[in-house]
Amino acid sequence: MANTKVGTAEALYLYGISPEVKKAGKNTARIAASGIDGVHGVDALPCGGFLCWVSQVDQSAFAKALETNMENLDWLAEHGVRHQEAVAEIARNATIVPARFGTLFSGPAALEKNIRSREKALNQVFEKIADADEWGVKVFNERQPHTPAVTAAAATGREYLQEKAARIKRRPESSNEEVRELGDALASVARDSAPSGKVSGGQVDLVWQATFLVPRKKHAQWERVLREFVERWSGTRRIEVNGPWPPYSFVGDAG
Amino acid sequence: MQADLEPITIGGSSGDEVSLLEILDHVLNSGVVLHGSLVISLAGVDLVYLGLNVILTSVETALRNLEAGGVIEKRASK
Repeated sequence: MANTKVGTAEALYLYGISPEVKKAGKNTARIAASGIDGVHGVDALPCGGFLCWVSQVDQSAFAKALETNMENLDWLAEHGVRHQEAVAEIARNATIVPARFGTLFSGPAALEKNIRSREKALNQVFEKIADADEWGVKVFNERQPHTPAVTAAAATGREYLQEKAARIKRRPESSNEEVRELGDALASVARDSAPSGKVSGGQVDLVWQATFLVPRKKHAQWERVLREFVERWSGTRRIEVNGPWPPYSFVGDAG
Repeated sequence: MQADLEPITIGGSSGDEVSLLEILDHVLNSGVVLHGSLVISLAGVDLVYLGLNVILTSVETALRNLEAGGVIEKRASK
């Protein structure tokens, strides 16, 4: 296996890693989602004692163009959704440590070498994410002060991002006690938390957001905390919760 | 995992569809990998400040376009 060569024009795109299932038949689970490039399917590749979820991608069309494409918002949106579709489908059937977006290997040998070097970190993360889902929480002010939209005139993705960045930096830091109280209450139920909002940080009236790793058996407790704050903040702040997600934000060194 | 694309909005009013924004928020939250290295900045802008004007593009639209083999439609944000 380790020496199986993909064609020279191909690379392997990694979606994530699952514990290897020994039972016959399980390793060949079919994933219906299309691969990251919309052409190649998603395969389960036994690798270094784990199961790696991969797709073949074209070296020149996909791998080498990745950096340029990351600045192309249409491309990023389309491929981000494909990545999510594949990872979510896998996560419905197995524990998966999601790989970071854009993780590519030259072939199975390079992948296996990398996986073996991360064996310890991977096992720690499997333990951490077991029976838990990722949830996003956002708090918005209900007031609607007029905020002009970022101009549609930005000529390039880069200009748009820079304009958006400047705008977010102008926003005053939210140091609101009550919002911090919500964060603390959620964190006390969750197994872990992480900052979030790399992409949606510019939403109007957004005052706070974070991502939590919530054990499934604590879900009722989690919802109770949220409902308590929704009632308390009625008319002043709005809470939006999204999930469940695969544990994208909690993979640490293993992703 | 139940209904991973279904948003649960508690006391919110922002609609029935999880936006593309949420997907990218989570998918990109740990950074991205380019040339084998982890990067947390794009276009010279810290990812923390990355914002897309695809806020109103729902996943449904994105998926429909993917199915149709097209490119995701980018709607103006209001």
